Amino acid sequence: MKKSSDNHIRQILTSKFDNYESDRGIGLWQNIERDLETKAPGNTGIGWKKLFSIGVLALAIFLLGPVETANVKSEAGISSKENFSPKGNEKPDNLTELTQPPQGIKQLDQLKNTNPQLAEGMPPEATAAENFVSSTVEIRDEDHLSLENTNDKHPLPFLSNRKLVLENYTFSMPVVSAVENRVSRAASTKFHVSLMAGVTYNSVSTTPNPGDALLMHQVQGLPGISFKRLGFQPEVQFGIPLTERIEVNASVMADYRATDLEFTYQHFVDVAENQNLISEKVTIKNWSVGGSLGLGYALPGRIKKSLESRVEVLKHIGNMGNNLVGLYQLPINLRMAVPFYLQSGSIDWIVRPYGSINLNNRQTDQAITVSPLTAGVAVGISF
Amino acid sequence: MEHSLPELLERCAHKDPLAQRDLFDLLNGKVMGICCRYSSSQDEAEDIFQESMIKVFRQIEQKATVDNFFAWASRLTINTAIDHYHQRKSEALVDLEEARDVHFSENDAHNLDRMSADEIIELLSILPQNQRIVFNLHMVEGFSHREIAGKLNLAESSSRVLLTRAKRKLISVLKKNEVHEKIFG
Repeated sequence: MKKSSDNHIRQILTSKFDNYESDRGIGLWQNIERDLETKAPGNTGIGWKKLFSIGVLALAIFLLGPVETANVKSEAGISSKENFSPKGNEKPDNLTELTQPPQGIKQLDQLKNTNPQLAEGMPPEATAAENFVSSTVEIRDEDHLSLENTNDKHPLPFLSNRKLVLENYTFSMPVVSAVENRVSRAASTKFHVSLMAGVTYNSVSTTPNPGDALLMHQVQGLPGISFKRLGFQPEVQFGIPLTERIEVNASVMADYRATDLEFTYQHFVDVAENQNLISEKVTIKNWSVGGSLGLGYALPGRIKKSLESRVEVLKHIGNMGNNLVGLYQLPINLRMAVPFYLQSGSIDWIVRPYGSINLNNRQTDQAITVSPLTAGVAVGISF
Repeated sequence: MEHSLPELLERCAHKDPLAQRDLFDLLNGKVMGICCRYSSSQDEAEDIFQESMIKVFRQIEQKATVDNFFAWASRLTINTAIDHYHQRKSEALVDLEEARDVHFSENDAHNLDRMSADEIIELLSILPQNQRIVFNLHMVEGFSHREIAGKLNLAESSSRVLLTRAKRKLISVLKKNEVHEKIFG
């Protein structure tokens, strides 16, 4: 009896709800339409972009700030007679006093100058006065640190030897042989060509496709430190000066990179049934070729360096992932770089740390779109 | 409707916005009806509704032909409600000593029959979430306790206890309504 009542209740409920419709959802179409157009879960690229911007800003502040950390002059060198002092050429107070002879000695000097004959018969104090004056000069020489620019070659490029004189000891000290800032160097205002080879450390940001029927649960790239992240970027760059400080840069370049991605996903129909989790591992190794155009601004400071910003357009060739992971065919990257120019003989070497982010991480048809994020150091020569 | 359902689904598969709107108009009442049964508030129902509708559209984009579309959409909505429950469920333990069966009376059935679907949904909304879901799955959808236990990640005995609690609460309210009607007509 009781059981049958339960069945009766079940029949009532089933009949009541079988064709039941509620009108409460009508007004929610706009939310759903918006979601259908813009849903993009788990975009991991935003954090990296912020981090990159902060890094570039910090680097710019660092490089535009005070550069000189010691009184080392590049080309003229430092005279062996020049004092090494924390405040540059400012003399210590006690030295100023010592270089002024006492009043009595001054009078003896005047007497000696005006009447040489008298000087010949002068008492020993007069000789003492001469000795005093000359000894103050000698003390300046011996008691202070000095650097001598010897222009000796160092076995390593970019370095040259300078003598460090301290008391009676002389040391040979390697210093960076930097190119003087381009503003004071006529040769730098000419068209120049640079051959560069860069080693890059690559990361990727991944964007699941909101328009497919897959739900990505977990997307994992390579660990933070991995040799697999290393890439290679050879390039030829042309510099065309516009003003003393600004030049246009154009380059032809190639890029090789590799990355691994591991991810777990479900078809939406399986999400509802809470089953069929699928795991995949994809390795992408690809070459791309392209060119770039940008501007360089010569930064102030002793060492010649500049802040470069450029836009790169690349075309992927070779491996493009698989049907699940895709790369945007024509990636456009923004690169920020700070090249340093170092001198070794007649060649200007360039050391260029840089970073780049992708600007057009548009969705591909695949389930995950991969956008590159690169930091690197390129070394090359400019002529 | 200007188009047949298969044609509409085909156009939705190609992300035609007009077709998506037409399908929404066709489906929203039924889907929201299910969401209301499984929710204790309008906000919760709307959350489940939106999530379910997005899943429906995404799934159609992948596979334009779906057998028995409305039954499939209903099942997907129910599963979305269950997922929603999983996301929000508290870790409260179920006391097994209450597992003694409670049954509705014929009088309860009579009272329930006189109520509209909206009134029954309002009645169900007084139940705690886990009891409401078990009640719906068992009494309306016809799932066994074993199936419910699998879906909700519960012990089968816990599903029975939750149904018993739900019934007890509903019987109590139905009785109060009956008394109220007898007194005030």
